[in-house]
Amino acid sequence: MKAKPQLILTFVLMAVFCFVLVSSLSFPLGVRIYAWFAAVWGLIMSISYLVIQFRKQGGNAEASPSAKINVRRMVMWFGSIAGVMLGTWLFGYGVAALLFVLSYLKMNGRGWVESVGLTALVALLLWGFFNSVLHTSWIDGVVPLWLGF
Amino acid sequence: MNIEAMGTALGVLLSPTGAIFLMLGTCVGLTVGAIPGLSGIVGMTLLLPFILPLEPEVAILMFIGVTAVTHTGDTVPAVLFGVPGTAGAMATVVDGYPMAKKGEAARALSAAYTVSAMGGVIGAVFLLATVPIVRELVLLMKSPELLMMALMGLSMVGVLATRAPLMGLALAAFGLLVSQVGTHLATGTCRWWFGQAYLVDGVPTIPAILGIFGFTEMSDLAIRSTKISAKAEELGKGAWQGVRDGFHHWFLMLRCSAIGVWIGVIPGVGAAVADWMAYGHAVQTEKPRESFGTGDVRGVIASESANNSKAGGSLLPTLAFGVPGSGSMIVLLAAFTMLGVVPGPKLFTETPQLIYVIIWGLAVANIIGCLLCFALTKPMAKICQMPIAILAPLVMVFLFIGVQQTTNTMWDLYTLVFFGILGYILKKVDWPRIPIVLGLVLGGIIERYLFISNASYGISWLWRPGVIIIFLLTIAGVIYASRGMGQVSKGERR
Repeated sequence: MKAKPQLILTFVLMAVFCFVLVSSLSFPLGVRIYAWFAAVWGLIMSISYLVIQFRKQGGNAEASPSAKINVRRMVMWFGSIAGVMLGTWLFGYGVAALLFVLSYLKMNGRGWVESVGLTALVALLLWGFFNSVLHTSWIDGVVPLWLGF
Repeated sequence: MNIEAMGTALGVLLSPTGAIFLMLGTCVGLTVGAIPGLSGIVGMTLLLPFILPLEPEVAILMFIGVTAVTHTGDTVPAVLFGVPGTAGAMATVVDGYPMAKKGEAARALSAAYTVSAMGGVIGAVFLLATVPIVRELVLLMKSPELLMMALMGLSMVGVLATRAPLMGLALAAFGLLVSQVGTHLATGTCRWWFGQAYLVDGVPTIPAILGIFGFTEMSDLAIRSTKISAKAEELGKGAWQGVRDGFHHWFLMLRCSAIGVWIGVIPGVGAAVADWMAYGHAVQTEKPRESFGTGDVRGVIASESANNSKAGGSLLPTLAFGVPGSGSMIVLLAAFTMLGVVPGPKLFTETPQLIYVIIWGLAVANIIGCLLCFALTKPMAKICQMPIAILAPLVMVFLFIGVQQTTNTMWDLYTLVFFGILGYILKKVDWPRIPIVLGLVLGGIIERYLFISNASYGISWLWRPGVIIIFLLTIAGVIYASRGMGQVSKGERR
């Protein structure tokens, strides 16, 4: 089947619409109708799309030569994002953001001077502009709390 | 028209204090607009503690400076990174970012600034013209008409999701469902909150929008390891072409500014709706239309003229009735209270010079904002040539800060990443992301006005003349657009 990722996504969406239909049974009628309207509409569109896709015939999409490199970059990128999330939860955003910038630059082969310089610039923006001038707040980590800071 | 009051107001504007504080407000507005996740509310809140020692006219000028140009500043990240600076710049991303990818960032930015200034001035002129009839104008739109306006906005899905229309409609339904998460306003029923207090108030729009647009685009660039634009030699070129585009498409700019003003007048609807309505209108009415979404300057012109003219419209109910049309107008009302200025009909009769200060300030701030941004267009366009390994982490740091301003919890980050990954998957399978955003933004408005309409009028709201007119306009727009799309498809097949 040519459109395999699209089909998987369509089934996921259909599952969401079915979940909405079933779970909204417990809502009062006035609340339920709007949810049902959207879910039924979504289901009809998804089923119509599936019917059209199944009637189309096509071969499997071939993997491109750069697919492996893309997967590596994807793992690196989303891994970095997961790292920021974990770092924010543990140490707070002020620390996690700096670690993210430094590690991402180094992972992408940038020199130490450039990486540290840009991280320092980000630190200046975070603490000097966002924190001191704009008074924006960010998430505090659990470790400083545990340590009593 | 009170010429004497107009002259007095102009004197305040041209005084050194007035000019300095208007300029200060304009700079703050541009800055907060350009930082994704921050908005005019942040800028105005920032200035709030400093207004007490100032003359009311001067303090108000400063606030008008912020509110007038926030939507000029938000164009910068929308065009350069595909990250809307505020919710009102979402539609700008659709054509502005592809223009930057094609090496036309300077053209897109300067076209946006030109029409932003013109749209802002039109908003100010509208405010001036409607002073005598303000009451009748605002009361013209009741909840059934507002509901139909929101449905009209939702009908734009059919126009904006031409590549995968069926799944575009399904994704709009998904967006509508996401907008229903949280407490139902009328009954208090809590829907799909999965035991998380974060979801009781619903899915916050800002992290979701920044995820769908900003996170997705940065992820795509980082994974492909490419620069935003590969055309180094063309960067910075086309700035004057953008200005010419703005004047060349003056009628489109005028129509979209009118849409922006009208949406602004309606309290609680917001710049995001004005933006999409104007963009959808451009796609429906402009020919040829197949280039929309691929880097067409008309798409930028439509959305940018609407979101700047909206400021004039949203000031109207704020000044005339003390009914804030948006979050930034609430802060403006707070500033009025601190300064001892009471909004309402008497404001127009007893202190007309204050109204004219606002009108002058709105027009002049837009022009100053345009000139300041225009001067920076060429250097800013060169950001598109920055290596993505440097750009991506820097932009993500701003994105993460922006979303944390919603509730300052980890859930803001989870929302950003969830919608970001969803947006990335949709981009990879070539399905439109816009319908989810439209459903999300309009879903709450539709639900609110549907409930109020039913409670106030029963079923009879369906027969109100305004409702029938807007319904017919919606149907006509969809038919006209689908006929045009059909012709485009036939042309493509040939």
